[in-house]
Amino acid sequence: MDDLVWKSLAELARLVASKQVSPVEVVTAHLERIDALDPKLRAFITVMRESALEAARAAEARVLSGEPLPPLHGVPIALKDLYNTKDAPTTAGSKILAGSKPAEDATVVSRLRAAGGIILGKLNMHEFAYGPEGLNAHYGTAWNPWDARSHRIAGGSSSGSGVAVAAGLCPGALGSDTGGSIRIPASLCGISGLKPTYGRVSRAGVLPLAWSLDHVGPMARSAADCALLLQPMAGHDAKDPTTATVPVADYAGALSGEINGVRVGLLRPFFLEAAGLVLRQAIEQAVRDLVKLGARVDEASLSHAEHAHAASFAVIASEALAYHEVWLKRRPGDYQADVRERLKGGAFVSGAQYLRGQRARRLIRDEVDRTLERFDVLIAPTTPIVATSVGQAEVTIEHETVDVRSALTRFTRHFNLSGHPVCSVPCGFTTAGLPIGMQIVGRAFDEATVLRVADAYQRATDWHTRRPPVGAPPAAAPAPPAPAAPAVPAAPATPATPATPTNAG
Amino acid sequence: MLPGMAELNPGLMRRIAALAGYDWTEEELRALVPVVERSLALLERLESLPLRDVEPGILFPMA
Repeated sequence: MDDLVWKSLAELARLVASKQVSPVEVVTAHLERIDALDPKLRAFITVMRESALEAARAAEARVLSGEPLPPLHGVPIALKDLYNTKDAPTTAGSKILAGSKPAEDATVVSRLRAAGGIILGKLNMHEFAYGPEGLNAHYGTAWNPWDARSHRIAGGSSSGSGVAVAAGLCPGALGSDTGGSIRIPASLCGISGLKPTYGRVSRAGVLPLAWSLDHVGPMARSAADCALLLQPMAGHDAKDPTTATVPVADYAGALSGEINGVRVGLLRPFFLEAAGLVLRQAIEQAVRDLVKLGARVDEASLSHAEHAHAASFAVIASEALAYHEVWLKRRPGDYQADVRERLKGGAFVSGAQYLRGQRARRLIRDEVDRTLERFDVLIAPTTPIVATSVGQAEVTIEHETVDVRSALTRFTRHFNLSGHPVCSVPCGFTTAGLPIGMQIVGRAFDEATVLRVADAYQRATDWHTRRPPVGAPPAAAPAPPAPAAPAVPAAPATPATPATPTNAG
Repeated sequence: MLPGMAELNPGLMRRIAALAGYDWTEEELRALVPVVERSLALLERLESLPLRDVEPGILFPMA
């Protein structure tokens, strides 16, 4: 049974379709692992045990009937707890929405169920997706599985999604990404995560943080599994007017393993040069690996990168406050402290400042488009730091002390503003055993190329196959990691010091 | 701070918050002063961008 929880989505679907494994066995194996590990990891807010087993029994009956099977038939998937589900509460990790029961599924949840997916449960997150660490005062902060001894952040806001996939509690999950919230936990938890192009996947039935920046997407242990999940999710939805009618590619079919001649732009200024030493070395090695596979690499830069922080702040602060305004007036005490403070700060952003952020966004998008005329993909670190301790407010990169929140979103928010697709894949580990992530950025609606490059890289490397030291038999467990990664030594926590305004979730 | 802008203090912030319908205590407003100061400094950076002829990067699809 333990073996089943480490199978890929593709392999599980194949085993189910060929009657080698029952969907009931698959779901039961994952539920048993959740029972064993989640009291510590806190990846789940709601485990949908009964409905998942019921769906698994129905899936088993369909296999036995000999009917044609959809591509994800019998495969368990978990959802960040801001996707509406008709059969379980959707809390957004909040006290305010505790027990809230939506009338219908989000569009992508309906599509994944129609594709045969079985919903295993709802995953932990930074409250209302408003923070990049994955902190949650109401349901407990998810525990990064790569450090079994000390409580490190999983990254957010899709913290539970990162932890659940990394720890083998589910083979795939959905996250959402407004400033990096799929890619940051993917990076810190050593998994793959795809933020599709804005408009590629419907947001209907997904609780918002900032409508114009929110993206929903898959998280899994490989880019190939992200492709499998993206397929049924992608495409126009009349319920979400921002979805595009651009044709949906065959994502799994695009994974040829071939990237000979692909033009790769390495984003060094602002991005690579601001990462910790070990992270820079990991990215540079990954670029050499891509060259060995036939890619042609040159340096690239985005001159507006330094303005992304301000533009992102203006947009998120304003849109988030607009969504939360009534609750902030009537139930301010029901928010966790950091989220309440960020929401309040939005009251002092003017309409003109909001639109200045949106106008800056046009420049940022146009520049990424122009840069991608010279390159097929761009490469950057996902984060400049690895997972820090829960409660740690500052971190030192080389000789500079920066606040953790700002650091986490430094490299990711640019592509929420531009809307381009990005996949984060693991590309190394620190000597303390903490994962490092790399972003692969593509042209608008060209998720196929992004996934092809990510998949080719993963065929040539094994970073994505490593397992964290939780749930392993004691004798097989690797040596416990040191308290902090040497490349990014941690400064003492100073939680009372307000950070540079960073709201990206 | 932009030219002509009043210095930020809890009293001024109380008036701004009240206009938006928030009734925050003196203590809450004092805690917000450094947060808002940093926010305004951050937003000021956008002033240096050549935005004169740039429309917002948001769409309003009619169909």
